[in-house]
Amino acid sequence: MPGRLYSVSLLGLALAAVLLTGREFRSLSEKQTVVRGPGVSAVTRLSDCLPALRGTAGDTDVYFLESGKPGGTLLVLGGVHANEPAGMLSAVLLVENARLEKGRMLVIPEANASAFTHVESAEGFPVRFTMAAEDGSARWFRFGGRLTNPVHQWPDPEVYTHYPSGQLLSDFDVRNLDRAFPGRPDGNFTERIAFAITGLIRREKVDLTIDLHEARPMNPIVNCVIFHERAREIASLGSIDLESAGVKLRLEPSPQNLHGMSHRELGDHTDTTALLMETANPIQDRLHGRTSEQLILDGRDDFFLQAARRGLLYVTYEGKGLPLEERVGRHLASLAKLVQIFGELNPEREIGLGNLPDYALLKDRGISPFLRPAIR
Amino acid sequence: MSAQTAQSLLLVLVMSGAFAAAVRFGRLSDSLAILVSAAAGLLLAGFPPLDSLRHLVDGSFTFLPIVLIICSAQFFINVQRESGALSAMARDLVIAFHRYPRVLLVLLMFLTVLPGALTGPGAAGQFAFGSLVSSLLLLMKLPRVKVAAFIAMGGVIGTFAPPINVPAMIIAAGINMPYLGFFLPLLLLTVPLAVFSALYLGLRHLEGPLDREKAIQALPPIPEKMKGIRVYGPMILVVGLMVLSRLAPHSLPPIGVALMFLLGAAAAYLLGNRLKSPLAVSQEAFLETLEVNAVLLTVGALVQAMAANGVRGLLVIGSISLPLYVLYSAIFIACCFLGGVLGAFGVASIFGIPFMLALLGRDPILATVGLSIIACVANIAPPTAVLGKSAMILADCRDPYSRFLTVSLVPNLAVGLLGLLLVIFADSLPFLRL
Repeated sequence: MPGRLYSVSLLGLALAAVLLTGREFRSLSEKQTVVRGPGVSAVTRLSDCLPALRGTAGDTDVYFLESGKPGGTLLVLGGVHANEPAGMLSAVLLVENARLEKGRMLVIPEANASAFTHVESAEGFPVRFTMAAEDGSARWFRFGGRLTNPVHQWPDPEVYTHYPSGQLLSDFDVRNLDRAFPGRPDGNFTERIAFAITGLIRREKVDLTIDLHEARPMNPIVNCVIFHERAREIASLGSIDLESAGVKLRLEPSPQNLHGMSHRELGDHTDTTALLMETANPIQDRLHGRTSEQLILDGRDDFFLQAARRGLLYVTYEGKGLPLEERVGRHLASLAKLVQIFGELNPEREIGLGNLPDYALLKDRGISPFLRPAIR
Repeated sequence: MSAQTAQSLLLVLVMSGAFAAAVRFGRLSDSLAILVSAAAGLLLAGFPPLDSLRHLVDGSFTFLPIVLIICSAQFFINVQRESGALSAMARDLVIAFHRYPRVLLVLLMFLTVLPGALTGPGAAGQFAFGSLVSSLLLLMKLPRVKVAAFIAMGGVIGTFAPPINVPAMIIAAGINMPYLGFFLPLLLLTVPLAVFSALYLGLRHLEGPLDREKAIQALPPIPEKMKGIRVYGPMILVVGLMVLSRLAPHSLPPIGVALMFLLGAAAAYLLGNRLKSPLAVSQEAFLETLEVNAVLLTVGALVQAMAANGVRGLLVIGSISLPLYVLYSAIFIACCFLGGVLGAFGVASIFGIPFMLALLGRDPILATVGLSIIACVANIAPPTAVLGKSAMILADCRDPYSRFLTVSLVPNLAVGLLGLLLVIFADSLPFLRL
């Protein structure tokens, strides 16, 4: 083929690829549906705490579930990392099912909304996963990135210096919301999101904050609760109680010299009692085989079985994988226990959570019965 | 062997076959053949065509920041060369050090290492000073291929030199360890490796003090006005911006290294006389770096295809489930050779973290330092070979890449082996942590 024709053909192919995939990329900004459950009394926006966020991809819904009775205030964060679906989905189930019997609960299912608009390059992740709602209709959810979308915050510096500690972290962590707390009102995009969440905690006088995450099965910090010093007793008692109920929850104290994470900074910079929980998510690990929606849903992969046999995993891994309903069930059961113990230790700030999806029921029947049909 | 392992092995074979066929029968360039291999791997794994295309395009963004740095840095260097500033700097260094060529040799290595040490990517040093270093080394009678190896080693060492070692940061973040306590062990490794590399590559070519006048005459003509701020202004601006971004990270917006080089080039235009149009110079820069950039973009697509179709998982499980002493060899092979596909940062993320988790129990800082150093050698391994190929461009070296690899083998081996020894004996070297 003559050189010019060859070049023009290649250019044409490249343009066609850009057009086809560009449409797909734009579709990633389409929002997943979160249905307001009967317990939701109000929905506000995170930007109410930092007007500079209004109209940006970092603004997100804050769901208020109030009992009308005195008690404490709980904040649940899901989707700080958008590639950890059990965290986001647990928060969604709280919004769609929970009823408050005492005190109130604030829920942010997509804490880093920008991260839900992309997936990181080189990871080969799917961009969404679909489940059936209680009536059998389809509900889809976004599988996003760990970091803020670079379209919204770019370029990364050569090295990220955390504010205010001055701790050095790798360049990409500048877009990691869980390395940006407590945030700055005039900082970068991710720091602003962090600052708005910190501001929400201060404004609403949040007593207890629980940040829901997932981690790689090869990571020692998995199936655990990471606790700030002030949350030590709650975490310890919760772990003991949960063990007797068949849920093993490791205890991990929040390192005092590792900055930017919610359990460290929210505990240090606000009056809230800060905890973070991790379940095990195989698709996050570099070990997995072919990526697919199914891997998000059932976490079943032969390479993990091989790794488990060689003692390389920090979770029990068997042929059935690590299904999403089990991971969500762990989060909700642990959350309920920690909230209960917080109330026992602080009776005047007790938070009564009702109508939570039960762990055994979730394991038995899956998530679908607790998902409402998607009617916007 | 499980069905998943067999499928992944089949995919490895098909992807390798597709690459070979594209080169041999399709007569495609390496970069396009890599793209063909990635597409074959996705389609055979059962991804629908549009989804496969999405993975290819998405993956090609993986190394985009590095591609932008390479393009803008080459533009900056070409403007500096055009203005005569590079020759003027070489002249000044000849005047200052012509009596002490050994000292000059070592100083030039540290000059190449410094920007990478301060900012992270070793390519920063290569592009900031590589062309200047190249002119001087040629005057000192080093063959071009050794000049390229010298600059590449500056880049490799600059990538892991303290205070900023990005591969170590990536591994540390992956095991929830703060990036603290790394400075001293990194410094104690950087200095001897830099001195050794400089002397190994250059010493045998030195013939006593340089003939000052002869050396200056050998340089391209320097415009009369090319003195002082006209010579050093653009370079000071670039290095100054790099240092400022580190010193005041919360006061200055992160503009990125690529824009720093473009601002440096703009300063060179303001200070220089009768330079070629920016369009012409940028076209030259683009063409000079086209091959390395094309490989980087398509390798990004390949990495994403391997992650999506499970080949990456096969490589990771295959590497980390080996017995301890075989694991050490696997670390070396995976980091140095597979790293050629992933680059130093990619290898730190994909192999460094699992290896470090498999090695938990030994001194985590020293083991991470060791792994990060080995990962840096990946930057001269083909096909990406970012530091190797750009060093060849900077030295205007037309030798085959295999010749470059032969020449730079010993210093890179020294880096890799020292890193491996550090991993193996991490618990027996407490003095490195004092």
